[in-house]
Amino acid sequence: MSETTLGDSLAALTRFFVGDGTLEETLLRVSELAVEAVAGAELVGITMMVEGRQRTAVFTDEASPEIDQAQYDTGEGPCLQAFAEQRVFSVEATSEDGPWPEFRRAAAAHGIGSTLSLPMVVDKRAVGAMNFYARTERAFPTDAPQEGEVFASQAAIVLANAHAYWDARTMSERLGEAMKSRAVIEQAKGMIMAAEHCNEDDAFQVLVRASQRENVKLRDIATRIVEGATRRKDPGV
Amino acid sequence: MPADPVMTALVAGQLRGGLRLAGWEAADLWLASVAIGANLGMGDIAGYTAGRTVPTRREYDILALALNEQLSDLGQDHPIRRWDDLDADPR
Repeated sequence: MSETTLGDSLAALTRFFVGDGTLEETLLRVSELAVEAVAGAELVGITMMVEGRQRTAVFTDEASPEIDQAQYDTGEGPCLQAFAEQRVFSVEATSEDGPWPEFRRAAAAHGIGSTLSLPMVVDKRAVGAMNFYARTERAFPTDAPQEGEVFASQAAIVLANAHAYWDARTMSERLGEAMKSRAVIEQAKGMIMAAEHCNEDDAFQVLVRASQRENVKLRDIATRIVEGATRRKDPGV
Repeated sequence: MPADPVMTALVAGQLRGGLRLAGWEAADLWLASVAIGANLGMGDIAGYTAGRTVPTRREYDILALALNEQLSDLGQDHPIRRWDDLDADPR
């Protein structure tokens, strides 16, 4: 493998800011860099846990998830084994007999001659696996597994950071929505406290009872109270 | 005063059952409860559902309300009991 190619791909990974694109765009960019980094590779698919199941979350060619499906259907294949055992597995020639016969057949049917599967490990925990495909047999040079592992370990960190970034960003957005709801409820409680001369807990119970009586969400009851008061104060609106 | 172990178990059971019915993680319940006025940390909810700690009546009723609002959206009729109904016969 050209050291420049691996070096360039690694350098591109280190410059990667996960917030520049969506999670899907990050995954796709990482997979494109992976093909450039690993000599002999023509297509790549990245297996990750999606909603509790292993799936090819990103790929550079439609053939990749179709081949990987043979692994998911049978529960065995080099990528699943790389994921589970955190080791490199390869198929030098899909036409030859060997482990994972269903996977070999599916790969060969898509014109794939050889494959290389690398674990993606962060902090000793597998977060996914990369499955590289080549159309010729024995396409991957002998040093490809070692150099591929260097790339895969860096890529794993980028993907873990991307997941953490987007999880945090989603949580932040949801928290923003929660605080808007809370603000309306606090306003409504204040109005009830003023009107009924009661404390905060009693005002909250007034809202809860109205919510249950009308089978309407607490936030909607609160919004109605606040908007009603605003309309009464400004009859011109 | 140490928490009543029966109440602790009842609370944990209701909250765990509610999370399961709602298809929620603890973080979802935390966000929904904060949205309607809870003053809890996410770790508090993990403690309640594990039966390690017990919420106050007010905290619990807000959590039950948050779960019931979500379950109502899923077509269920407020299956999570309020604090005062916790030791009643099973529904």
